[in-house]
Amino acid sequence: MVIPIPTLEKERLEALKSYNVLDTPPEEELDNIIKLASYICQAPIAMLSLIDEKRQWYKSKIGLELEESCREASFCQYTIMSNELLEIPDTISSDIFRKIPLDNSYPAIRFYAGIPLTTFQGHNIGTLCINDIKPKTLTEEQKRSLSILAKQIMAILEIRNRNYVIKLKNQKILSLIKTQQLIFDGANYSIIFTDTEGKIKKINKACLSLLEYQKEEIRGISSPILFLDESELAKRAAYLSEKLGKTIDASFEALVGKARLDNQADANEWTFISKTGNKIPVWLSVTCIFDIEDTIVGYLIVAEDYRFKKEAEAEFIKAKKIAEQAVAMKDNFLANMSHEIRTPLNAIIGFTDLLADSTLNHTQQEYVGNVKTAGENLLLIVNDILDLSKIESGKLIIDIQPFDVKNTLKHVYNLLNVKAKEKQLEFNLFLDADLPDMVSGDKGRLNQILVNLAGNAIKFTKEGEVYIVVKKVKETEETVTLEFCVKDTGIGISNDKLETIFERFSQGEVSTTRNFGGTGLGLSICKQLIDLQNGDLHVKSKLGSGSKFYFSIAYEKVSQPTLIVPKLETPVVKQKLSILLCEDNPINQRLVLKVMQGFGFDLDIAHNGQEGIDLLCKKRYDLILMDLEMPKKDGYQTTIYIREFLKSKIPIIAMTAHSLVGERQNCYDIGMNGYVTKPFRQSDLLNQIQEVMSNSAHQAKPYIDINHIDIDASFRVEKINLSYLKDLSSGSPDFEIEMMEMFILRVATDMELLEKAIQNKTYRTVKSLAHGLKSSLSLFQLNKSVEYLSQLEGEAVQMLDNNEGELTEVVLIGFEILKRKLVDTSEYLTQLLITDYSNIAS
Amino acid sequence: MKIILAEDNELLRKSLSFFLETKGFIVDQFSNGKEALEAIKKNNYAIILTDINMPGISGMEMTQFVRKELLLDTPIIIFTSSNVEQTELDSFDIGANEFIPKPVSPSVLLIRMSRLIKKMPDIN
Repeated sequence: MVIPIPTLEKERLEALKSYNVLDTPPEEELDNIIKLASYICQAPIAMLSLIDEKRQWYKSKIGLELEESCREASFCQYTIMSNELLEIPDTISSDIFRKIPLDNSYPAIRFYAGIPLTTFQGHNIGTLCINDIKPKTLTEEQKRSLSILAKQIMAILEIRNRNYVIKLKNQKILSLIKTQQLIFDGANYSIIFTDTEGKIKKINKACLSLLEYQKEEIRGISSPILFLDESELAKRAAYLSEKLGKTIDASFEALVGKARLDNQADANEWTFISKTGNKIPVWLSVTCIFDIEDTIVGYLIVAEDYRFKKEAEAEFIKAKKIAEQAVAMKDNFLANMSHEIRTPLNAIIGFTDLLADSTLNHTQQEYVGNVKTAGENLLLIVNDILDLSKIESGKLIIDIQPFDVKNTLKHVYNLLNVKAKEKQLEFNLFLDADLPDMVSGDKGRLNQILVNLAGNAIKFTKEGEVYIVVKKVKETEETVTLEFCVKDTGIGISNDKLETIFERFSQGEVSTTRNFGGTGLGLSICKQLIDLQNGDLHVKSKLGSGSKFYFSIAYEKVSQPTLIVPKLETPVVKQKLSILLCEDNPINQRLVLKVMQGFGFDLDIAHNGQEGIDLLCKKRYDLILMDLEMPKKDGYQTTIYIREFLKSKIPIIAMTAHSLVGERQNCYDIGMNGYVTKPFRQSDLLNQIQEVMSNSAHQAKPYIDINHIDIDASFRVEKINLSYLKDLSSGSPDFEIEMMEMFILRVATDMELLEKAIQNKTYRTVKSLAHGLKSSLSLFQLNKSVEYLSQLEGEAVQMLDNNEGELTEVVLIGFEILKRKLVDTSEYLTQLLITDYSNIAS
Repeated sequence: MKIILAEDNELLRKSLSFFLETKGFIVDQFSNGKEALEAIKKNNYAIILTDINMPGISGMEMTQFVRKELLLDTPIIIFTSSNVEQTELDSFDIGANEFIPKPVSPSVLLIRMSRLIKKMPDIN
């Protein structure tokens, strides 16, 4: 059976589809036309049928119950093949009918007339057809009527479709609008749309609730700037005025101006003021809204409640502060602990040393030896820990000084050779022939590193050999790079442990600690120390065969060999020295005393800086040992005083339990000559003393002994005289009391200020203070003191006139004397007030 | 009798004032020259006592001002310190009537004052 398919069937089907009419409910307009067709043709059955791919579907029908039927079983499939009316007066005698398969649900049709429904493009999407159960023929008018009705049906379908499409579009639009509204209201940002003048066109729920307004209240509010903080708006206006070079008012323009001019979003921090006056920090962004022709039609303002972020920011800043404080506290703690730990350790080691030197029996010697070893070990461990903490908090500095490379290496060798010999290991030091004599770097740390590495090598080697090899690997104009290598035939390190070996507390093997001891910090410290000197510590090892640790450091070349301080090899007591110790801790005092006496030196002890100065003024010393941490006047202040004020060049050696950054340099900067850390080795201290004394021998000026100085120090013994005061008081004790009290106070203050002025060399101040003091002192007949002050005043005037110069030593010493004298005088007056004047009520 | 004392050292100023008040004077005390001059402009003082050196205006400048600008012939006593300035002072006449070196002797002060002031209260 050949089913007739029109040409462009695909397009036809698409056209049919585009009418959106298939499977839709009946519509009155079309039903009416069908009725009309049925009536005009006097036929009981009329249909509007649409032919889709497989079926004939009835949009409208009369006299028929079916909704649809098979396309194959229809007449209409033929009708749509042409644009003409197809009339079958009697189906029995029709070829077509015979072709159509029987369909029992179909009534017995004898007459058929169908006219195609043609689209504007010419597709026959269906038919208008008439059926009858008896044969008939249509008149021309009837046929013409059908034709007109067919056209009418198409017209209706067209309009209907158009309406349908429009309806869909409207629905879509509504849906979009709804979505937009949902977004608008659902967003938790504040969103405001304004027109170009600033009038609020739209404002979302979030914004309303933030600002605590109802929607109705906003209507009528002309501009979002009413929600802003006035002063901020003014500030912004001023800022924009400056930036843009024209005056901008604190108006809507100040809010949107920049966005408009830059044509991009302008975001800033603002403060919203809510209905109840709440100030809400917001992050507010302004954008321009354009129409199709790129004209600005309004502004979009989006504001985010910034409170949370600000709180988070504040929290963060707080947390940061706490963290910083914690770090500072930790560092302080560290510095303090360093002192706290080292001080008793100093005592332990020091006294143990002394004990070892005393007469002991064999058992006692053994015991003391053990304590000494334990103490030294403890010191090493403590130093390790403190070193590591210092490195990690970035507080360890590399001390660059010229030093003798070969000597340092030999020293390391000698130190460790003892241990190596005990274990019967071959221990050798190989030095390159062209190693420089001197380089500039940190001798102590190099020592530390090599002792650690070589010490480890010896420790972990049961038999065989340990080598230290040092060679020059590179040289430039300013630097020379040395490579240090420590090789051993020890137990080695397994490959997987090689990576972690430089980490803290890992010793390659858990049992290592048990078998070999140690803190496990050494390698980590070595690595970091080498890192700090821009080197890199490498290791090669094979388990059971041995290990090789190597690193290179680029040292600065030393330009002047003559900068070397001659080093004394063995401590030899040269002469009997008179030494002043400034130290507050009694145990340390005793320790130093014993040590000094052991050397055959004389030692005087001052408990603090001030006492030290007093002693210094009274007696002649060769050297001062200065503890840096003392109450009242600490080591620094005392040294500064001695150098700047007393202008004394007496050698001073600093002693400190601290090992803070830059401390050593600090000491040298303020005029100290030597430096020992506590706990100190006797030999270290002696070396320092030797060095410092030999240096100062060249520079020392004859020490000024105040007692023998040739100045008129008769004012020192001058006594206070109240007769002048009494002349003025005309016998009024109240007046006398008032004057004495005022004297005590004023003089103390003025002397302090004067001292400072002399130290700071502000001679104008010196002059006026000296002058003022003269009047005060003359009241109490201290005329010699007044004379001295005239001398001081005169010198100060000279300084001002000549714009240079220094106060003479005589005058400076005189000031010291005057200072003490006035203290005594004030004390005397205070006493007098109590004894002679207290029974007078005032 | 109203007098004015300009002296920057507090102890000395208070002592001298006290002393002079016990002798029956009314003493206006000032610690700097500027304030003292202001007071002189406003009040009628029988005598002006001033230190040679003061913050603001010196005793000498004050004397010059009183003589040349205010055209007063109020007696002026200047307290000097035993210093270099003494010799300079001797060498020119600035219009002060007396120079008394410090420390000022009370009796000497009184005598010098009495010689200068036309009317004097009873010292005893």
